[in-house]
Amino acid sequence: MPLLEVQDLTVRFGGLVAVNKVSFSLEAGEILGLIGPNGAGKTTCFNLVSGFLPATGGAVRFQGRAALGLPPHALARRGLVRTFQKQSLFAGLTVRENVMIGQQAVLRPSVWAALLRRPAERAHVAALRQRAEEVLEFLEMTPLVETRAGDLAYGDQRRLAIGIALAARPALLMLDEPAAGMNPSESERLRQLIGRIRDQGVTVLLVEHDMRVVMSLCDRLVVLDSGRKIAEGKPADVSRDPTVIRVYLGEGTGGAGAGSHA
Amino acid sequence: MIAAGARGFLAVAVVAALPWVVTSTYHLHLLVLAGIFAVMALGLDLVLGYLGELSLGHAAFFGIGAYSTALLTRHLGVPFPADLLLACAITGAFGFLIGYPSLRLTGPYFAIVTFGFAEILRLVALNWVSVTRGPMGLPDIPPVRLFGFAFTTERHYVYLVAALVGIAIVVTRFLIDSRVGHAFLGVRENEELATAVGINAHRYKLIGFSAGMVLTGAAGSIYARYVHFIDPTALGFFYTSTVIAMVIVGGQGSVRGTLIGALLFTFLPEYLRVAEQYRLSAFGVLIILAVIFMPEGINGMLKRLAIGRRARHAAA
Repeated sequence: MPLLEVQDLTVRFGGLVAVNKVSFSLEAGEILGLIGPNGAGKTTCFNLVSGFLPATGGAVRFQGRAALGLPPHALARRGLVRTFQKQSLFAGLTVRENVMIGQQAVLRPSVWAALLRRPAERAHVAALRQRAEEVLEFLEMTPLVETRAGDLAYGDQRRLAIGIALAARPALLMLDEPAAGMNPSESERLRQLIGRIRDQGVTVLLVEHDMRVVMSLCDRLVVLDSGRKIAEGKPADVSRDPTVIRVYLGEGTGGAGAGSHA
Repeated sequence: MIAAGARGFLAVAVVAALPWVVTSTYHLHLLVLAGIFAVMALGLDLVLGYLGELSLGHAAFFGIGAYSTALLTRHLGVPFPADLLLACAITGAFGFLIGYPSLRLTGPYFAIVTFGFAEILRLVALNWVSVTRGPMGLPDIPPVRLFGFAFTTERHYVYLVAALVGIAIVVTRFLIDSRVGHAFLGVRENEELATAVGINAHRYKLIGFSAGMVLTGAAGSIYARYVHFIDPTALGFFYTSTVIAMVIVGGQGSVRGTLIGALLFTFLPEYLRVAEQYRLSAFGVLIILAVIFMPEGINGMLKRLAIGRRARHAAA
């Protein structure tokens, strides 16, 4: 049984069909890349699957259960956790606090526990700190625990965004353009990090523009253009696909990358 | 743990000594009011400081607490602290009912709904004469009686209100330091991301708002007991703006800042009585100045001073 199954997913904004009968599925342990030129509907697709945007039609099944129509926080509690392209952190709080809040998906906070069972509550919070430090060690961000998230260097902010999501213990981690705006050395570190996350047994779905990241990291690619799926398969095959090449070269965005890494 | 215990002990000692150092009835009266305002401000700070939502109807909830106690004690003879607990429950329930629909709204709409609610409630208090006696208000609210002891003087109420402030501080602290408090912070800092990591933002806004209103109801209840009288002016926007000024100028999202703000804005206007008609405008100007020049309030400024001093010590 696939971990995530997307069937004929569709959303209309007035006359515009932003995502048009898109279907794909994701096996546990896989890294799937969702690519396509600007305006192809990648992020819209992402928002539909993660519950941030209501779909017009189609079905999404996560771990075998219907997922469409559930609010995002309920999906996160089931193990489907996403990041955002922009502002994917709690800027005013420290790095440690960011990761502590990320763990909310596996918590059941209660006011009564907070007020009436203070010692137990303190132990819970101490466990959160401990776990946050483990996550930050995994991210190689231990020296930055006390830094305000908004003061971090750009690359570190993007890593922290992944750390917050990881703290929620996802079965499926959805990353929205994690390498956007990164320099080559930062995106190389990111590539290694995502590989290590998969090695921990987390399935990854990513939207990405950076072809170096996509080609070397993803097991499979799904290519969207104008809201439709135009190709699917292994990176090497997809990059030889004439439709894909035409779309990329025609748009003039990332075309060289898609071709040269064949 | 030890530091917190020592601080608590020191606070109790200071409060115990206070009414013997400050002897004028007038100043004791101001201390009682400052304490009541502090509890009300702590209630607002949960909403404004920890959830990042602006309530423009805060005085209405203070009024609900005060009228609850007035009606419960005058008509039903409900004794202390049952009337206080009931007033808290009633105010919290109103908070829940108002918050449930309005906290789903984003942007300025929550502020508008709470403002409208407060105005409606003020008009109800003004016009439902058979229950509230309208503008004449409800007099003869009996003083607090506990184990046969009647709280009658300002000095008595300094102790009573200090105990209430202490409880409010502990409740706020316990909430903020807990997993619930982390959820509040997540919602305040980035609601979308909080949702993505499993936080039901609406639920926590509702919890925080209701809890804040419970505290505010307690302040109203004790106020009614202290002055023995309540009328619709207590629900007016003047009190809401005063408490907003306390929280913003004192320092949002900090217990210490809120307490400083409550003291400042209780005592300062008394010394500025000459300029009474300019009071509201002065508050407005102070809020604007605080937002521009010290966005973290007086508390943020103190913190920065302390950090600077420590840095200089380290350098020396």
